[in-house]
Amino acid sequence: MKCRAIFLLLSGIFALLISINTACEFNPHRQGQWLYESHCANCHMEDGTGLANIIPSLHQSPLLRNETIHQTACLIRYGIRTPDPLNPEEEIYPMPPIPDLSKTEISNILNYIGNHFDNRAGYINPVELNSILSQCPNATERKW
Amino acid sequence: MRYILYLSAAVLAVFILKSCSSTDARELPVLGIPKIIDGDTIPHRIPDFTFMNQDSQLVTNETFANAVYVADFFFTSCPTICPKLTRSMLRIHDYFEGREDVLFLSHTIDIRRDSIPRLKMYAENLGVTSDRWHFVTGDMNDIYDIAEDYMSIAIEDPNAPGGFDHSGWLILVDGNRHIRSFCDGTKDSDVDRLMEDIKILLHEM
Ligand code: HEC
Repeated sequence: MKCRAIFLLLSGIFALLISINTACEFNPHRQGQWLYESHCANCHMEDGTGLANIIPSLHQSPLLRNETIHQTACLIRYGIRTPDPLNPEEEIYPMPPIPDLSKTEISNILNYIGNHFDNRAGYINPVELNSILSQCPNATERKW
Repeated sequence: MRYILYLSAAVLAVFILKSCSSTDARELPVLGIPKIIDGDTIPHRIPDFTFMNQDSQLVTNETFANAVYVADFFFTSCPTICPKLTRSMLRIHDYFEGREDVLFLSHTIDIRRDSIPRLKMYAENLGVTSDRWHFVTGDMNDIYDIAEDYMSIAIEDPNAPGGFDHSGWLILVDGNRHIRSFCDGTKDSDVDRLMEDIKILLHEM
């Protein structure tokens, strides 16, 4: 009887410890990762490796460095249109614009990809995006 | 007491052995809705087709006669799931590297833009050749019709992203034109299962 009570008590404590542990597991990029996986991973893949010479890998991306990551906010909002080299009238391999992501959401995505996939871009906050997004070259081609 | 222990160990062993051997002997069903003609049940088959691939070669059912193949529907400027599907196809392609009896057939559903040179460029950018992977185009209605035979959806829809609506299945077809398995090309674990099914099918040939 006593044995059983101790057993129950111990398993209770154990269960409590496990739940505390998982609840405290800290993922600073939870929303960023979720947004990346729902908006970007079909193309750049969950592991960020892209698709051969069709979709660029985001690993050690030149556009995900401290000096450049702000420009990527423009890419996310306005997309990238790539003319087809065989027929410049047409596009090929587009990255679609996502006009309705908020600045917080964009910065969460940037902070996730900028600090994953072997990138070390540091952190930006949504306020910094105000001036950047208002100056995006709304051009049809990538010129930055 | 001891006998009970031995007995249960034996029963357990039989169960374990049995479950192992039954996976080896697993057979793939013939999928699709059969036709009943004069009282005979005719399993669903992929009908005759003639398309043209990235190297301007005709691709017909004969192209796949001595092989199993995986079919899908895509377009090169697809803004949604196609890159993920293509990546899954590529993963299967590379896994069965060098096997000329495991082939691939990707139909474009964007006939207007996906010209043969553009399909060729896509294949080159992907790093694959028509030795094993055919990117085909043809008459628009032929492609939309055959999509249904592959239990897939491919339709032009101005409201869908990129202008086309299509499903993300990868379809496994055997040398007798029967569909034997399929998977959701956007889910890695499902693609893993399809690769196991390909091995089973190769065993059968
Ligand atoms: C439909 C496919 C697609 C989707 C979805 C997509 N991208 Fe892209 N992305 C591309 C393509 C294609 C390029 C290359 C375009 C070019 O350079 O012409 C690209 C380029 C990039 C680049 C620049 C990489 C480099 O080295 O040039 C970044 C960063 C990027 N994408 C991030 C994202 C993020 C973040 C998302 C989600 C919010 C996303 N992409 C969604 C297709 C996509």
